Amino acid sequence: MISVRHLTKHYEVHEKQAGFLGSLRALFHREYKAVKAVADVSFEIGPGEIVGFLGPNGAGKTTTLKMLSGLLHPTAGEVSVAGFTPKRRQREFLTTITLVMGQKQQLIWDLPAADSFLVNQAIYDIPDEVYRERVGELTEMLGLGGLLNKQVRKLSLGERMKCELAAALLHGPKVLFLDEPTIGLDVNMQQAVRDFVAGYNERHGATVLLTSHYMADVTALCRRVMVIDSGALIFDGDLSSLIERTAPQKLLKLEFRVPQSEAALRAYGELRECSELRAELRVARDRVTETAARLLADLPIVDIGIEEVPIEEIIGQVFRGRQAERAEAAK
Amino acid sequence: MSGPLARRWRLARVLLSVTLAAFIEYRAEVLIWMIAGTLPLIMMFIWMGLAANGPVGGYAAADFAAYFLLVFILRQFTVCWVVQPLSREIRLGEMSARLMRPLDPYWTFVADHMVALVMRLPIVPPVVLLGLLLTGAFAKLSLAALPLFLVAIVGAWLIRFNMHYSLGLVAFWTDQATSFEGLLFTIYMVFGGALFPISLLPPTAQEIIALTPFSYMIGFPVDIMLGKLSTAEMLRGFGMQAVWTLAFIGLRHLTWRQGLKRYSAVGA
Repeated sequence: MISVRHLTKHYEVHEKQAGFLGSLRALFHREYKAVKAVADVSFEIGPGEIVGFLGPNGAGKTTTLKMLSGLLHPTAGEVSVAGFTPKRRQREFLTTITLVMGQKQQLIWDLPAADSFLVNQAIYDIPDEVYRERVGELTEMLGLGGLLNKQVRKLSLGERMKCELAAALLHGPKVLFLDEPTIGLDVNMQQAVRDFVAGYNERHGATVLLTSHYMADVTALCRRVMVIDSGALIFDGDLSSLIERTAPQKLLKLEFRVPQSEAALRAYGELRECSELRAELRVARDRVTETAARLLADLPIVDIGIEEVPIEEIIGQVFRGRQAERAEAAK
Repeated sequence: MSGPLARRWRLARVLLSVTLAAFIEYRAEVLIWMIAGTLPLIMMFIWMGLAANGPVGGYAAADFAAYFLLVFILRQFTVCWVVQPLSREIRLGEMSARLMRPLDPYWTFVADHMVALVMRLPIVPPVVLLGLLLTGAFAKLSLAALPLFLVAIVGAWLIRFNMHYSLGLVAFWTDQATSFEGLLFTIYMVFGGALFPISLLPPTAQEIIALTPFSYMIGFPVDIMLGKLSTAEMLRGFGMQAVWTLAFIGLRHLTWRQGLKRYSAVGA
């Protein structure tokens, strides 16, 4: 469904020193620097797959998505999506895909979302029966009841996001590019969006490529993940193997009633952070419950939380591991 | 079921009605824009004052009244603010959402401007008619030329809109598209004949200005309605309108295609 070969994108960025003198200098002499946003990335995604695209900010995730959806012209390499070359932006291509970007809006701000839907119906030339059916389906799956006739600017962020999603899917795309679809949403709303994406994939057999900062998005939806860092693809494979390989531990966040000594805490696991009343411990996955129980019994604990190691850290570990491998290979 | 023509018709209808609905949210603003566009009427009073003691360059007070009231019509019905939103959307990456839909963003901007014209319809013609009657300038009009005047307004709109659209697209290369707009506006107002009739200038200046697109955006349609042009002059004028329209549509297509290659779709 999606085939990417040696995809590369360089930006020219004009650099300016801060302040007035810097501006003055830039007026006469501009310095340009080529930034390699994406470097020689290749992958294939089959029909109906949901793939998570991970990486720190500025790693090249969004740039890749934009090239896949035809917004950006690649500097080099080949992209094929559903048999089309995205940058040509043919009508048939644009009706096959959709791109949802976190806060970017296509809804008309001062009107109810239903009006924007009508515009999309006309633009995509959706027959009335199909349109009614899809709006009905999306209303049910996203819980849009009553939202569509309210002015968009009066909606909450989460409500708006659901309407944006619906607007982006009215034309029944076969390929979904989702860039941070849950950013800024509360936990319930994140869950709703996640369920929806999974449901849409199941019902329509759509191919989904999504980026997210939230581990939960990725774990709930994607079996396969791709990790990109500094523009290079550094991992492509099973999510579970990525987590177990790189994050065999979980995070215990503790809050105490009275200050605890670091020495006392070290006995329970790897101590990461410790101020007087708070501490973070890393504990092996299979011993988390037992350790938590012991901590609660032994120490004056006010609050305890068990969390996954942040996704950024996992990626960081993958990345560092790769550097080490490279150094090894160089020897 | 629906041919390409029917599809386009439906698209135009939906786009215009939804845009109109959005505009109505801002009806007070539209009124303020129109008041801000009364410079031609101010110029009218200045020139009528100058012509109070006898014609200036063949224009009596009533001639100036008729001229500037028609200029007011041209200014109101070729109103164009596309540079600002277009360059902003390109610069901030907001164009991305529009680019994802299989419709050239050009048409949504056209719809915006069309709706602005529709909203002026109930106000501008009555105001102008009243002005013509009060100043005794109504008799200066050549009513038989009204259909040609309307065609010339369409031509003027096409030149102006495509010119400004091309300018807005310059934002693909530089962040400064809007500063060129100020310069362009000044040239347009002077060469177009919005401050004084071009026929007051020496013949050489008139000939040079007749080669630029500007006189076909204001002066030419106005002169049609005033019955000042011979058939030959009219044919030449419409010919020049067609040439400049095609030139700017071509320029717009070229900048659009080249610009998309450079688009960086910044932001999330």
